[in-house]
Amino acid sequence: MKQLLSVIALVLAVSAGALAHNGNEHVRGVVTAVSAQSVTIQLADKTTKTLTINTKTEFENAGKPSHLTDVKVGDRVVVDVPEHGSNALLIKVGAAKK
Amino acid sequence: MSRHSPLVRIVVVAVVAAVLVCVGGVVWVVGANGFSARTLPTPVERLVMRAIHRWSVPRSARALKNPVAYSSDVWAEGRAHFADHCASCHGNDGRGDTEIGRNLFPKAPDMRLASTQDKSDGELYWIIENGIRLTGMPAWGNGGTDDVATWKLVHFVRRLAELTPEQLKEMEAANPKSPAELQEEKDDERFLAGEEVSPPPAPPHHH
Repeated sequence: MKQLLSVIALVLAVSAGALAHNGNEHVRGVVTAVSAQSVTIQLADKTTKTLTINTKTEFENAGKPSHLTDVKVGDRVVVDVPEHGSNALLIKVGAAKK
Repeated sequence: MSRHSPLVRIVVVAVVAAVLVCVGGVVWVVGANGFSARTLPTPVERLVMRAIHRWSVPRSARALKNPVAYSSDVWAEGRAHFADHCASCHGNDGRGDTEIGRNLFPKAPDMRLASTQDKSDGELYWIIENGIRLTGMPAWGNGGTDDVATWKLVHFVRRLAELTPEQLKEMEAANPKSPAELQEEKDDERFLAGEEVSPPPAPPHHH
C-alpha cells in the first residue's frame, strides 16, 4: 500500500507543474470587442489580445452553460486557450467592469 | 587444420566484418545524435514494444474474467478513479493526448482503438496492476487478481467510446490539480466577481 501511495504521489508531483489546465492557458481581461468570429480582451497590463471564436467554443456564466450573446463589451472574462494557440476553448463571463 | 575451404572462410570473415560495420555505424549514429523521446518509435522499436506487451502478461492472466458485474454505478466509479489516477497521462477520454502522454516513449496509446480494446479483460487488469516494463505505465497494484477497483477500471476502459461531453466535464473537475492551479482558479473566480487580482502567472515550464 505504501508503495502504491508513493507511486501515486510521484505521478502527481511530476504531473502537477506540466499539466496546468490540461495544457491550456487562462486569459483574464475585459472585453473590448466581440463578434461571431472573435473576442478582443484588454489585459491587466492594458495590452489587448484577440482570440478566435469557433463552433467548438463554449460559454459559461456563473458556472452554467451560456451563449456568445451573453458576452458583451465591458464584461470581465476568463478565457481558456491552448498554450500555443489563440482559439478560445471556453469563455467564462463575469461581472461587467465598474 | 581447418575443415573449411578458403572461400567459406572469406565469406564468414566478410559477414562478420559487415555485421561489425553495421553495429559500429549504429553506435556512431546513436553516439552523435543521442536518444529523444520526442521522436516516433522506429519499426524495430515498435516490433520490440509489441513483443514486450505480448510477453508481459502471463497466459494465466489473459484468461482472467472480470469478477465485478457491470452496472452504470460501477462504470461511474471506474470513471472517477480513472479521472483521478490515470487521466494525467491517458486523458479523460483515453486518447492519450495529454502533455505527459504525448511526450512519453512510447507515447500513451489511444485506448479506444483495437490495440487496447482487443486485449482481454485479464490483460487490461494485469497491465494496470503490474505495469509494462520499458514504458511509462507503472504498476498500480500489488499483483493480486482480486482488486475490485482495478476490475472496475477495466469496465470503464471497455466503454471509453461511450463517454458524453457532460461526463468528460465531470472528470475534468476530478482531475488532480496543483496548488498553483487551485490558486489560479480562486483568482479567476474573484476576478469574474469584480475583484482586483494580480495577472495570472506565465505558463509553467515543462520540466
